[in-house]
Amino acid sequence: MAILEVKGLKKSFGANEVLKGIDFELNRGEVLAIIGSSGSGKTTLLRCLNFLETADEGTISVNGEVLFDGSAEAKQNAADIRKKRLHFGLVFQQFNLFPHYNAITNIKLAAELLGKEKSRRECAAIDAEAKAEKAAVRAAHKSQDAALKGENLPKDEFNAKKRALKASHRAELIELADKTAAKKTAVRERLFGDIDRRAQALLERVGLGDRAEAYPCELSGGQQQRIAIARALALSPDILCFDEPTSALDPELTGEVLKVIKGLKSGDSTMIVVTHEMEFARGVADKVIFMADGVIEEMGSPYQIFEAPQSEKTKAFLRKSREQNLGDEPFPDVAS
Amino acid sequence: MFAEVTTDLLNGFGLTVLLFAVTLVAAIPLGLIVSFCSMTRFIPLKWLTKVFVWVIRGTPLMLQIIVISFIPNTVFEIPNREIADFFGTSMANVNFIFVCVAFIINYAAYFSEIFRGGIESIPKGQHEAAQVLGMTRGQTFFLVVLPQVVKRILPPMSNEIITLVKDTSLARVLGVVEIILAANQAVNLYVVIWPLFYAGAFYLAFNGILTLLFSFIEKKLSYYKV
Repeated sequence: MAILEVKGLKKSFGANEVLKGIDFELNRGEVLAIIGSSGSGKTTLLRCLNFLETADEGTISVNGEVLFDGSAEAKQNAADIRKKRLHFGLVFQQFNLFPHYNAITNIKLAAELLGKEKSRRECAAIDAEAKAEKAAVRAAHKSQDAALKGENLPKDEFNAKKRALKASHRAELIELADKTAAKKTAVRERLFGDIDRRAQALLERVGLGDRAEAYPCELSGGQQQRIAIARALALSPDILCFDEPTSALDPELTGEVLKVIKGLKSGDSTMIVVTHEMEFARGVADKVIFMADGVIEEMGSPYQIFEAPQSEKTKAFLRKSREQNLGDEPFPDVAS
Repeated sequence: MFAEVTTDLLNGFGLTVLLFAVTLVAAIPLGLIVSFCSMTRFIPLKWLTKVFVWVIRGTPLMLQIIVISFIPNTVFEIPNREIADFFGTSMANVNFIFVCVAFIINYAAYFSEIFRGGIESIPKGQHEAAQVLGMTRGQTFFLVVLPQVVKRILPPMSNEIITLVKDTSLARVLGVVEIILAANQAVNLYVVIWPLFYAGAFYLAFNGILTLLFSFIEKKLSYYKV
């Protein structure tokens, strides 16, 4: 089954219709490359998927769950959207790392915040449970005390028995408190024990294991973008989106970033990459979408799009990008 | 004579520093609230705030101090004397509180504009990055935006705070014996000019310390660039 299903997605900014009905599906583990000239709606599509823009019409479903339905009357509240957008991760063109946190903190910040939220919730549930349990134990103790009183024992024997009973009650309550504390520790261990190790593992995965303490301003553009990729991966999104991940980089730095993205493919991550790197799209993608003027002009395997394009627009776009790549465009169009 | 003048000036300086501290502590949070109001999407509140800031920044602080001191008497017909009696305090203290209120309102308006500029200067991408990572609006503001704002507004804030030190001399319009009025009285009493220079030295020393403090904070925050 398709992990992502987009149907009839439309989006306008004022009178400018940017997306005019987008339909596509993506299977788990697939890499989708979206190509097309500037202003064709590629970035807007990605932003709609990540709920940075709200589409006007259409549906977005992940794993069969409808995350967005443009026809639904009810306006979604912020908490819902927050939960839903965690199905997606987004790597920005401009990296957007948090400059005041070092690399490792950038990666684990969101995971820690979510962990705290979960731990607060779970600990509250444990506390409520413990409170009920304690009340039940207290009630049992009281009835035991009453029973002892009812036995009408001689004073010495009564006192001795009462002391013993009290001690056992106290032990029982302490045991209960210990159990609650242990449960909470287990919750925290489960939620936080892994975060540091995972963040370090992600750093190594993007080849920056030794730069954990570095601040973004101390890293090159390519390194920053690799940290941004690790940051997006930290929340294990179902679908990882890249918005022109190498467009803000110097040419000599694009390679390291593309290599990291390519490396992710070996995992089972599903990815959508908006890109101008035709060679990358051809080499890495399982599926390519060519967008023009807010519609999917052509969609297919890299071979279909790059070697046997059907649409005239696709052909023209590919020809142009090839010429630009070779740097021998015969009559450079100054106006564009 | 030197010892007496020193005591008088120190007393005045105490009031100066108190006014400075009270204003700073109250005007920073108030300014943050005002800056939120000036950025809200609720248009009437936004314009109300803009008019408020325009009036406060557009009129002299001295006028504001005088106006505030007359409000209880003229608008609510409660003589200041009665306020003092009600709280069991002196007129001087009531006047000092009027001055504090005027300073807090005035500086909150100035600070709010600095904060607004700082908050709006944080790139949209920072908000979006926090959003796609599932952060709430509160987390985004306090963990992502605010720390960067602090760094950005440090230079204009240090300007404004140094100005505040010198503005405290306006408290004399309600008879608050801050350091310049104290020096002035000493000049009248002893007919010598040096108490004025002596008072100036206090300002210089205080602002020198503040300048050092700000450059220290700036250095502390230089580990990252925004």
